[in-house]
Amino acid sequence: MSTYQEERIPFPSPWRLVKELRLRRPPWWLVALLLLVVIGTWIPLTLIYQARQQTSRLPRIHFFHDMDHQPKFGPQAAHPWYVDGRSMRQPIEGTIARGMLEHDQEYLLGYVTLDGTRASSPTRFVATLPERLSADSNLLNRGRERFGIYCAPCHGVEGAGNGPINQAAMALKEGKWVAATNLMTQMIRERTDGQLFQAISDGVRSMPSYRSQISVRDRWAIVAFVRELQQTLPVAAEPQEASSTASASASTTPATVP
Amino acid sequence: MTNITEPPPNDGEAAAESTGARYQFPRWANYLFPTLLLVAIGVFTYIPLLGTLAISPDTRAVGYQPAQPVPFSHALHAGKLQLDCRYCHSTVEYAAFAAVPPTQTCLNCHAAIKSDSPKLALVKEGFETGNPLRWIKVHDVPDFVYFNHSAHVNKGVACESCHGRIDQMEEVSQAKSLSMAWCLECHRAPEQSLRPREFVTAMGWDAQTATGKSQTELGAELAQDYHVQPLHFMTSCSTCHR
Ligand code: HEC
Ligand code: HEC
Ligand code: HEC
Ligand code: HEC
Ligand code: HEC
Ligand code: HEC
Repeated sequence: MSTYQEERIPFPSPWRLVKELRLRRPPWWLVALLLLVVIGTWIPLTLIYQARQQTSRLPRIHFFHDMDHQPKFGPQAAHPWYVDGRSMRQPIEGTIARGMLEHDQEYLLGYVTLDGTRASSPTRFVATLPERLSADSNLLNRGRERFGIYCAPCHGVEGAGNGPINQAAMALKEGKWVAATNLMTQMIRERTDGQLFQAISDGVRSMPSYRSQISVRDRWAIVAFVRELQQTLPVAAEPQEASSTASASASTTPATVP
Repeated sequence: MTNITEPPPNDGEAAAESTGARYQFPRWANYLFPTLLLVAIGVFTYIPLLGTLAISPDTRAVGYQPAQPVPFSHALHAGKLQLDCRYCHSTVEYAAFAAVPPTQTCLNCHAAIKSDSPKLALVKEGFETGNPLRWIKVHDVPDFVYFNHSAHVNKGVACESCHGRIDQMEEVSQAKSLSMAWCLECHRAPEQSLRPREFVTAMGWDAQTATGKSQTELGAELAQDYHVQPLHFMTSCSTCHR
């Protein structure tokens, strides 16, 4: 009997190897099992691929919660205790937050009232930019940017009243929509700076108020920019019907946002 | 150990029969070892691969798209109607938090436009009762992470870099993983994402077509202009975990 040590197995030639392999074919079920496993491994991979391509209505799974969700209330979070569901409390009526005191009426309101509060009607509008601002390029650039964000959707980039929202509303034939005013007409040019400022702060007739969206300084910057536009662009013709519908709507539809 | 003699070149069973008493492994058993080896290597690479892929934030977090109470479409408002993001998300430049607009902002337009649409019924009701709409938060980093929108937006990091093409989304879905690795990828090389401040809300902006400079070149210039913090600040733990 030969032992391991004695045996010498010659290295098989490739040809022989093939022949041997053909001879010693594994049984079909072993091959099938292996194929099945290999194919099976693709199933989770495809599922993962699919999950990566698709959107899901379910939030991600937090395996370890750590301190991901701390028992505190962030901005604009919901709160179970309050009736209105807000965690951020609204200021109590009649109170004034720090820095919100309207002590400089000309700057903060654009007009002056007799008793010094916003409640009474204006007695005099500010004619030009308040002293604490100067119409330098800084302010004008800021105004151009803010005008593009907040006014151009309705009034158009050149203030001609042809912004995309206005066009969409016209195309939809919205009965309640009042065409945005062309800001280049003589009528608007004759408005004082204070009146323009007040138009932004309080809205005019069907134009909404932008007090909450635009800061005071930015509102003045927009006024300065509108003035600049009016100086560089030609005077637009007074749209006759438009202004009559505007005044008609003034009596029928109240201002959108009080 | 037992079967050192050359077995006859036919089937294993036949061999077993011919020798009679002793059990002989069938010929194909020779395949078991290489097969098992392969399977073992496969399992040891496959399982970790699968695990990594499955728990990766790119799989779990990206694509979260909760059902919102009102079918508000960014594709319509920010895409077709070209509203600037800041018209609605007005605090994004001043505050850590990018405010989701109050119903009043919607009514700026919707008091007159589509005012009777049933899709907007909740918005009007919310405005009249003073109760806020309960939008579901899409992007949410863990509470132990400090994130600040104004810090990014004012240094010229675009909404698009972190939120994807919002202007093409009918419903907002999370485009990036918001994982720590993702934050750091940008913090290590911010110049790859910087653009002039006035274009932070622009979508589909490209440095090459807009300025004629490559992103790396423009980014390096802007990083200097805007005094973007040095690497050690950007990657220090206490920048984000404070
Ligand atoms: C949602 C659309 C919309 C936006 C945004 C908008 N406006 Fe208007 N605006 C209007 C409409 C509509 C009118 C006409 C109101 C009317 O006549 O009933 C108007 C009128 C005006 C007038 C004329 C006021 C008057 O005395 O007749 C001025 C000035 C004006 N807007 C300025 C602005 C400025 C500045 C901004 C940017 C802060 C702005 N608007 C943003 C819709 C808009
Ligand atoms: C007309 C108002 C409006 C405009 C314009 C707008 N958004 Fe939104 N945005 C919303 C509202 C409302 C929500 C909350 C509902 C939702 O998630 O779809 C929201 C949600 C989002 C969210 C998801 C917030 C979360 O919960 O994580 C992101 C991100 C976002 N907006 C980015 C943008 C960007 C970027 C732009 C500019 C291309 C933009 N938005 C323009 C109103 C607006
Ligand atoms: C600056 C103007 C503007 C603002 C602000 C605005 N929208 Fe719109 N929205 C439109 C216009 C214009 C349309 C109609 C476009 C069209 O159908 O062509 C519209 C359409 C819609 C529609 C589809 C209505 C329907 O019946 O097809 C929904 C829903 C909607 N808006 C929700 C909102 C919500 C919620 C907000 C506040 C976060 C909002 N919008 C703020 C201008 C605005
Ligand atoms: C550097 C990345 C980055 C940029 C740039 C960015 N965001 Fe975000 N945004 C985030 C992250 C992260 C969150 C989640 C914040 C959280 O959960 O506290 C978020 C959340 C939001 C939310 C939900 C409210 C909130 O603050 O949690 C809105 C809306 C939003 N982003 C809008 C915008 C807009 C609009 C811009 C562009 C002007 C913008 N984002 C730019 C990363 C970014
Ligand atoms: C696309 C690039 C980009 C991404 C993604 C990004 N950042 Fe930033 N981040 C910046 C840049 C640029 C600054 C530099 C601000 C500076 O110079 O003050 C910054 C600054 C910061 C600061 C410092 C603010 C300060 O000045 O105090 C914090 C905190 C921060 N990032 C958190 C995050 C977190 C958390 C994430 C991930 C959710 C993130 N960032 C993702 C680009 C990015
Ligand atoms: C650019 C901002 C940023 C910096 C810098 C940063 N992290 Fe993070 N870190 C994050 C964010 C975002 C997450 C949350 C990731 C998630 O959503 O799972 C996080 C999560 C973590 C977690 C929790 C992981 C988990 O899921 O439990 C640890 C621990 C951590 N960071 C440690 C560190 C350490 C240590 C450093 C300094 C070497 C550091 N971080 C620097 C942004 C940052």
